[in-house]
Amino acid sequence: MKELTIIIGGGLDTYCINCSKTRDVVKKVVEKKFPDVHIDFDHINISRPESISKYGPMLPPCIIIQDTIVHEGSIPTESIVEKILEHFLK
Amino acid sequence: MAVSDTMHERRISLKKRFLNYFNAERRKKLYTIFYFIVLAALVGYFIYSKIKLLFTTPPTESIDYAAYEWYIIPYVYIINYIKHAWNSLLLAFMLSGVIYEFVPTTSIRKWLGGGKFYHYLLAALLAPIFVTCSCSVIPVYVGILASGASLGVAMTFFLMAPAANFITILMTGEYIGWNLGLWRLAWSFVAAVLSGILFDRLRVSRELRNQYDKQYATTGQVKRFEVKKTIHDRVETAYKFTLDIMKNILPRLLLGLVAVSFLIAYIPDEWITTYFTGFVGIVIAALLGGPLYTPTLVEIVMTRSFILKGMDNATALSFMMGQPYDFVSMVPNSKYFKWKGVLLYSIVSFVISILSAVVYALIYKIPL
Repeated sequence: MKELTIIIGGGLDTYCINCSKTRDVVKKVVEKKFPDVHIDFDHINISRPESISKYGPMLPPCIIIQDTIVHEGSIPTESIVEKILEHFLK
Repeated sequence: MAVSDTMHERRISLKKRFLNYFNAERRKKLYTIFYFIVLAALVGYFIYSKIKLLFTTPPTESIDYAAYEWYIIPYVYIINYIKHAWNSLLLAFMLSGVIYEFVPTTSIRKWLGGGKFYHYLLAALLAPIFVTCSCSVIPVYVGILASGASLGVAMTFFLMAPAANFITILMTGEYIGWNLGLWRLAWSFVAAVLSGILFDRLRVSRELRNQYDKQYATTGQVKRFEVKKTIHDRVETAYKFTLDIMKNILPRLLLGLVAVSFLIAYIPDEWITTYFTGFVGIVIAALLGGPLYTPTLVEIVMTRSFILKGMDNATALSFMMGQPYDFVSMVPNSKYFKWKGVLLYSIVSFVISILSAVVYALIYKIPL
């Protein structure tokens, strides 16, 4: 089973509504299209100095995979998440 | 038995063919077409109603709500509101979704970097197109600072965004009248730019900037992976944003309308004509406008109702201009701009509220 860690970034220290919705979209796509992949979710506050130092300024909600910003500024659609995961799991 | 089996099989086969034909790809295309048809219909109806009402002022009939039973009042008031505002409200919600998805806010943010005069103007001009939720406010602020903007430019942006966001402009223009709506927009612009420029003259602004530079220095190369979005992806995001913003705003708007309906029904007209007209009215409205902290859409409804009860337009302008110095926003804003900054923009906004109303009264010959 493949494993992937996905970081969801938001403006708060905990999951806000938009971050939760983003996580749910990712979960749904994984269940439907990538059943053999195990995803670990992590959350960061993108307005904290350590996040800015590492990734620069971002707009929430954002998705970071393997230190790469793959999406920011809106809740992604399922097809966008699918394309992102296809790229990182190929 | 055999006939019913055949019928059943045929029904299943039809359903299969239907589902095969309307697969996910085709359904997406249909949703996109439907979305644009609805948007075009709303814009079309909006233009049609404008042509119909060309050069006429909004309806000014005043309903005597006090004549109704108390429990009927909110119902009549809300129905009346929907009758007048449904088109502009729906259009505002849909266009906010379109702006949210189709305007590249990530790159626009970079244009604000710097502390030159045009940066303040840009911040004030671009603020209305940043439709953000409350949890996005801090990241947007940090993003503006990270692009090299001064604290004053960030302040201009923050004051302008709630005062003149897209929904506010459209609803003020449509529900109260474009004359007053554009005055409000122009004077909010002046107040936001002036506050930003003055704030950058204070030492605290430079101190905060230095503090920020030390705290938020970016290290290393940030990697990005871009997925090319199709038009269907964009429409889906815009549609979902519209739904979210409606779910967020409509319940509060309804509650506000209920409260305003009782205010309008039971506040005597004489109170309005005594305390909400002339120079005294302007000052009282400026003092009340901020601390009342009413949601923008409710404030617009309340203002229109007060106008119908006798409030003059200059006082209405002063009342609506109070948004930047509401008490509730002061506490979180003091974190970014310190209390000196909050005090500065509150004083500037208060003075501009009164000044704008007085200028309006002088131009339109409203007795002061």
